[in-house]
Amino acid sequence: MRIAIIGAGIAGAAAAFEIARQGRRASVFHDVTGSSGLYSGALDFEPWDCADPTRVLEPDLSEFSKQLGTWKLGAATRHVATLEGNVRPTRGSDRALLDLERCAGKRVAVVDLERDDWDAPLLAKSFANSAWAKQTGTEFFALPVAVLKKGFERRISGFDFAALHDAAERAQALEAALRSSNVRADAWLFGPWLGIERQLADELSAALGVPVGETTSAPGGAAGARFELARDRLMARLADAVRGRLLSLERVTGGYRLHLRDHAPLEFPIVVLATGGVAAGGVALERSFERRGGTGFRLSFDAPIALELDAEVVEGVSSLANVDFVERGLDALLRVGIAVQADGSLPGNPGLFAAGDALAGRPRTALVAADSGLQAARAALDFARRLG
Amino acid sequence: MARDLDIDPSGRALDCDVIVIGGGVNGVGVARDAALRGLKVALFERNDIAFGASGNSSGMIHGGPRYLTYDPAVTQSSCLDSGHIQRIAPHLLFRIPFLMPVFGSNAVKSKVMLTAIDAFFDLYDAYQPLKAGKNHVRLSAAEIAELEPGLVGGAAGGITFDEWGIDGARLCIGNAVDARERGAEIRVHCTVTEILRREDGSVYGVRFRDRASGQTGQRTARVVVNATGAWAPITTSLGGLEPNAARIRPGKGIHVFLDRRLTNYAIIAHAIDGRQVFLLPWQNMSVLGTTDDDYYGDLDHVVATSDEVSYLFQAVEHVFPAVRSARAIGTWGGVRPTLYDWGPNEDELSREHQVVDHRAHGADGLYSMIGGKLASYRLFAEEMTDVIATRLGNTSAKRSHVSPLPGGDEQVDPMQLVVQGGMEAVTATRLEYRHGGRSLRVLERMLEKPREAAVVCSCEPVTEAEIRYVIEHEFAHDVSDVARRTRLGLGACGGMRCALRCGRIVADATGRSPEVGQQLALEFLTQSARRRSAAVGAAQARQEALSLSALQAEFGSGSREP
Repeated sequence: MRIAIIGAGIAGAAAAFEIARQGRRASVFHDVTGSSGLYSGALDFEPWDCADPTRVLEPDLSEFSKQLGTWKLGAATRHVATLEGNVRPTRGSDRALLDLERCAGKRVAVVDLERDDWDAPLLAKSFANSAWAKQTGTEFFALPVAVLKKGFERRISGFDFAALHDAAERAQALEAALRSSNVRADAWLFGPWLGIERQLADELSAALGVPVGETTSAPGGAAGARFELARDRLMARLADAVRGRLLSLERVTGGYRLHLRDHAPLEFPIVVLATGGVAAGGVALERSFERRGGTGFRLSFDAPIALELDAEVVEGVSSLANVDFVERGLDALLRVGIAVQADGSLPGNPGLFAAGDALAGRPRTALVAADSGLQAARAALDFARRLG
Repeated sequence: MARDLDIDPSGRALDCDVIVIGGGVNGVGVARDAALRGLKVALFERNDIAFGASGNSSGMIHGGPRYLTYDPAVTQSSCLDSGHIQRIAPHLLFRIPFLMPVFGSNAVKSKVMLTAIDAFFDLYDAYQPLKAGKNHVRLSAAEIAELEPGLVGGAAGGITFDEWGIDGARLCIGNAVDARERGAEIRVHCTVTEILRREDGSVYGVRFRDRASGQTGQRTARVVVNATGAWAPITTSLGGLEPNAARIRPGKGIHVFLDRRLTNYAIIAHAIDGRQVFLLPWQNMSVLGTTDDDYYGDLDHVVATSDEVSYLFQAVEHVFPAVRSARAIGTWGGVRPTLYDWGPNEDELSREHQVVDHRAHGADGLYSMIGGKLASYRLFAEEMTDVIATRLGNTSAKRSHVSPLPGGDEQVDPMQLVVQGGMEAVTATRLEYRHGGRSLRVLERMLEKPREAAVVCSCEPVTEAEIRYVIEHEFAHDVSDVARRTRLGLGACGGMRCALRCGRIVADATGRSPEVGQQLALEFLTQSARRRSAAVGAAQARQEALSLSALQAEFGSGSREP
């Protein structure tokens, strides 16, 4: 019984992992970067200010994280520094993020370099002002380090700057620069620039004997790129991953026919949709004049699936203009999606499952995506067993 | 008379000659003109300079061909003043060529129409020399297709004509800064709570409350000018007058702004109700406008609605279909303080201005400025100041049309900023546009503190030095104020990449905590998201969702937002 997964963000990757763990191999079709590749590097179930720190991680999720290789996901909540000067709790993170728990009560040097997107003195002031820093008596201070080698490095994107540090000579130069500092630092906090392929944060920590790590990433930064790299390696091991954009999903006897760009139509009895929400481009918004016959939200591919917003079907809203965000709030963009049952199955569509940001009304967080991917995979496997 | 004029009821000497209420273009214009004539001035603005209609207009110093048929005096004065503004602030003006295509299925009818429009613009050309404008040109269908390929086919021909664009907020800031440098006291985020009157009804000052600090106080003056635009009736009521004493007909106008310049020309189109609307290339974006509707809502929170946005899109997509796929990155909403009249449609109301002397209402010494438009603000301010000067026996020469606004006295080559400051050319050009000769002062900061050369907002772009400059010299107190002065955060990313950084800088520069800086940034982000939400379409939805997710990763669920 073959299973197709559409989308290879966190949800799709988790679904493929679970299917492999249970002894099968899924076909994964994925196209461009979605919201997982644009995430901050912090791993949450809920927005962090209303998170339940006692929520138990299920073993499969921990195992997925381990196999992925780019996450640190422990049992306890810990703190990370954000790109905008906050200290926030998180269940886990990209492994390059500085684990502030290891720096509590110490002196953390915020690396000061003349990047346009980085202002170490004001960031250090902001971190030092956080409730966590005050409670733990942790100091943050800006410390100039000669990291930029050429003028243009001041303005290139954070991702490009991080990628520069994949080169061995750059990594060595960085280590030498930190070593030559004559100011004592118990830990070093960088922006999200410590390599994409190279695990430079770990290397530097080991070499210097003190924690060295990053803040969270801006959308399109290093953390997302590292996820994509780790995901590609995982998929190569566990699944048959193919580049291809889903154009339409058609229901046929005994399953679904997938029309993918540049592929002949393929049929699968079981399909897991991990196509993302509005941020990923999996759900699109159209104004009345942009498309005939239906306004509002729709999936980015043709499929006989209605979208829901706040438990109400929103495809073809009864408005001549648009979804009214003045009325609904702009964050409706984060609530709209596919309505599913508890196990991720779509009512009335046997063999069809959905996970991740594609789901209506779930928090758009990394761990909810991973968790729903695992669940959808289990439900898909149950369905496969029932079919025999 | 002199005795009454110069003391308050307790016999103390008055603090100043003129109090101006309102920091829109008329208010700052009067404050500047009066200061230029040596009068002692205090100005109170409840929100920010250019917060209302002045900062939310179409951004044009146009000659008003629209008014030529029924109000040629407005056209004449607008053109004349457009010329004056060019001389006192040459850096702030940029040419906007307009294109008015003529469509129609009936070839004869279209030709007649074209000839009529051609003749009409012959009349308008007579005023063009007043504002250094170029004469109109009649174009064939083929020429239009070549000059503006995005237009739908089928035009019988068309007309181009010449207008000037301006950043209305920068114009207001320039006037306010000039007034202060000539001795005026300018208080921003400071609301007038009462207009003080003597027993005989005459006005001698105001009570105020600083909205940031909560501090209250009183200033006395020989004349009080109500230059509060759409707020005018509310302001007169603070002196116990009937709101009708300064009656206006408030007309809400909205604009949608779209990412990038979509057209070479400003395109004129007709809306479903026959009104003229336009799509104009303005600074580094395109502006779609405008509406004109009676408005009775909250003047501090004027926001475009989806209906208004749809109306404008629908009008322009007829002639320029690509507007459908353009990214709407924001909206402006403002309320025109049009002269009161019962009956006519909003569009037919006079754009003239008038000074109301409230002596007629028993409040000697209080004047209200009603009506007017951005293009003729200087003239209106001069007329108001003439009345004040006559009353106070001031005989100084009028200089507001010849004395340069800050930065208008010195031409700076942006390449100089590139070479000396290491700025990128686009950064230098935009900086020079906003500050004219004073961009050298921003450059000086950068040379002194190289850290401040950092580009904080890369859409516009805006450097840290400029942010700190507008805080120190242009009355900016929060992130929205900085945005109004520099256009930080108003570009394609909606402040996602710069608002929080700007908040940290504002907090640092004003001695407030980083937490306050974050709060100010979140206020800006919330307000601009609210303004965008009426215009979110396919192209912008993903960016909005991404911004929200990024904010959530930073701040949690948003429950901490204001």
